[in-house]
Amino acid sequence: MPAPRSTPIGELMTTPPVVVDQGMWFTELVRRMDEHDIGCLPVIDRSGRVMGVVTDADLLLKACREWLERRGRGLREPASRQLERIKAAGAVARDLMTAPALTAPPTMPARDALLLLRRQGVKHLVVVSRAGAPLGVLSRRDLLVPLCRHDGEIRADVDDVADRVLRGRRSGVELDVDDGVVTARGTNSDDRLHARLLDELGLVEGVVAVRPDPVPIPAMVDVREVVS
Amino acid sequence: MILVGDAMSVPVLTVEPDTGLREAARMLLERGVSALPVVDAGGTVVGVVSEADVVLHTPGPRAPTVADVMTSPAITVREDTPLDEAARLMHRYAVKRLPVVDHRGRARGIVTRMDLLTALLQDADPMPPDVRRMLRARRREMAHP
Repeated sequence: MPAPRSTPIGELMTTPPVVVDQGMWFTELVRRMDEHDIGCLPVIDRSGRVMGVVTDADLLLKACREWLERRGRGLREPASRQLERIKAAGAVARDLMTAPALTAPPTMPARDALLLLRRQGVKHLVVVSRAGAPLGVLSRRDLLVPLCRHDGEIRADVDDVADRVLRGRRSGVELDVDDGVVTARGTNSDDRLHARLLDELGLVEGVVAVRPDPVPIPAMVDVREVVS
Repeated sequence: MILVGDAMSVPVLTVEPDTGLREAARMLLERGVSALPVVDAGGTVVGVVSEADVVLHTPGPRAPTVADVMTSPAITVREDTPLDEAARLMHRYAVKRLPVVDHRGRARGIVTRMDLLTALLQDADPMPPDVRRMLRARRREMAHP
């Protein structure tokens, strides 16, 4: 059974991408990131294809190493001397970047991109065209957007899922969406079809919780009472 | 020697442990920040909630709050912490920002990776004040379109 629709990353990515070439130096990389308020710069080769990425973590690591090295030697150098040292160490984009970059097509669903980021333990991926040219950068911040969908939009997807999973058994099940929380009245998680419904509802973008609310069981006769 | 106090930004936006997850997500998006310090009723920093914590949460049976996903205790620094120490902490714990607290653990500000890097640059190769102002204004503009 197909999972509920997930926003393609082409709609969520930050675009146009701010890219750099391999020879860009440390301070210029910092300035570029600061200017655009981003933490990831795709590095492109002469043909415009993505070779790798430089992140603020990479730059910080470089600065850290210099700082730690000086500390270890008991020196208190002015920052200008540190930069000279970094420059001497040949810190251009090519030396600082992580390669190859983690890339994905714009059609990838947000849900899959999330899994990919988690599995690879990275914070950004570069969205590329089939030719390998950068189209944008997707970060965790961008993945927050589907989480903030309005209840009305979530409701429409929730109804679609219920119609598809329950088919003829839709009556008796009432679905309510309130600030991303789906309450499923008339569902019993012991019922296999209901259990599948509840699982699928949890995959709808923007849903943060799925609360089953079982059908109240009619009053049962206590057998012991009857016997005695 | 540059200190955290020279590089940090104020005021700092915070959330509470019982703030709803979606509300926290909206705040992160609106402010364009990657994490928010979580404070208790007394204003003491008790944890940090990041984009990752929010985005990686999987739905359960209850409406989730910040308390369900936050990282606790928080790694924090003081205003008089040297910048290179802050850099080492960020690298060691792989975080992008550190809450700055006072001697009672109350939030005083936030210092980010970019704050560190630009402070390093500023010290070594000062940008003309009008260029800095322009960059700061542009950054604010982007955070509040």
